Amino acid sequence: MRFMERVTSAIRYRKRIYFGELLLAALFCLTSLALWSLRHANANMRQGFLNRLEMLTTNGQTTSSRVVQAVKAGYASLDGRYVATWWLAVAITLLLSLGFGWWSAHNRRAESETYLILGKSPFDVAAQYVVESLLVFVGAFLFVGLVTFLLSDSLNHLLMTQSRNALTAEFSSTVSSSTATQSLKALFEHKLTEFTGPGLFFPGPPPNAPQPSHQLYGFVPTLLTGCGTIILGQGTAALAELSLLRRQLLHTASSTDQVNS
Amino acid sequence: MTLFHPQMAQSFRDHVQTLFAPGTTSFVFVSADSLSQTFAAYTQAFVSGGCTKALALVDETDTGIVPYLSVRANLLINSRGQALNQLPEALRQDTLFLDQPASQLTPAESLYVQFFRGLMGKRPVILAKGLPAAMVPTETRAFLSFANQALAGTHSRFVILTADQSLIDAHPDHSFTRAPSLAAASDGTKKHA
Repeated sequence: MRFMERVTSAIRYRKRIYFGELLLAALFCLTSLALWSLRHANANMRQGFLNRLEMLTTNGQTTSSRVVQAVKAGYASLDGRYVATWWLAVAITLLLSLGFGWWSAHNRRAESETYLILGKSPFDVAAQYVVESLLVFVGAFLFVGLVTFLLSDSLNHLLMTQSRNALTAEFSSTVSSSTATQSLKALFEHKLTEFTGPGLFFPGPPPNAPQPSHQLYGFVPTLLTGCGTIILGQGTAALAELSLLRRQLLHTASSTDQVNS
Repeated sequence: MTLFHPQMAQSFRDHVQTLFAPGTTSFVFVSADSLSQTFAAYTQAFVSGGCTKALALVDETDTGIVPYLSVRANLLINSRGQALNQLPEALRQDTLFLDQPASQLTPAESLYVQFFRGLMGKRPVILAKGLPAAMVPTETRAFLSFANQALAGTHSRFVILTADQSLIDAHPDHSFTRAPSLAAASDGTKKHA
């Protein structure tokens, strides 16, 4: 197919630029995957915490102690922060994509003019440029996917630790450690549990038990938003720049004519 | 803006078609100083005549050849694969040339690519801004006979603006000693342009 031939040759011809885009795309994929995995871990631990809390408070004991409230609030605010960070990453990517689309269509001006003069519509040309970027993005996504798949255990461990640290920081700012100990004492009084005090707040498998299989989350949203930002950002920018270029082409032609006549 | 003047496009096209016969090469003499100017004016006449898609340009400096594509892909930018059948046998068989990247073509090779791209895109008018100065007369003759062979029987016409008097003298039947005005039949276009 001619179109795909143009796309692949153009990528090969502009290796250096597209390598830069590949790195940026990989960075976005990594950030997005990490944030989604953190959210997932966060939600898991929150659910575990609620389950264990329920076990402790079967006999109608109050669950509204300050510490318990602080833990709940901590989970919620962390989740909110992950979501906000993710949207920020998406917004930055969209902006970069807009900028890159504009710059790229401008930088390949000679080539763009050729296509336009040969009768291709700005839409056709923009489509070619966007598909080039999409291919690069999918390449980066697959690469990141593969690497994270191979390293998922250590990555997941890293993310879990980060998640716990963030959580500790979150509610140690609202509750002092002595209140926490007191409250734990009250909750655990006369109870036989398979977990210790901190295990209530950060549930996880016991240290010596086999760890559950680890994987990263958020592949689908990462792929979709990545492609979406490229299509939206670069597509709009390239289309705008190319339409402008086409108008300029027609306009310069008419101004030379007016000089002549 | 061109969409709204089908009538004008038609009259412009008729005018150009009566000036230059289809399937032939015409030579238009312009002095070396005004070559660029006339070339621009002719191009503009097509733009304001609403016939940009009827025109293919051949220009040594502004080749419009996409460097990262092969010669074949450049030829086919705006046409389908079967269009290759329109190439003369000798060129079609030359796969070495067709598959080479178009980034390092000589002026003569670039001329061939631009001309045949216009022909394969079925453009009614292929307008050349002179012929490459680097080509010696025998090369020019070879190219012209090659081009005429390919043009014969098609609806395209090849119009060469040239400052080379010998080309004009060699083809008295298809030559203009003075550049004819393309816009003569469409004076009303100015206010829309």
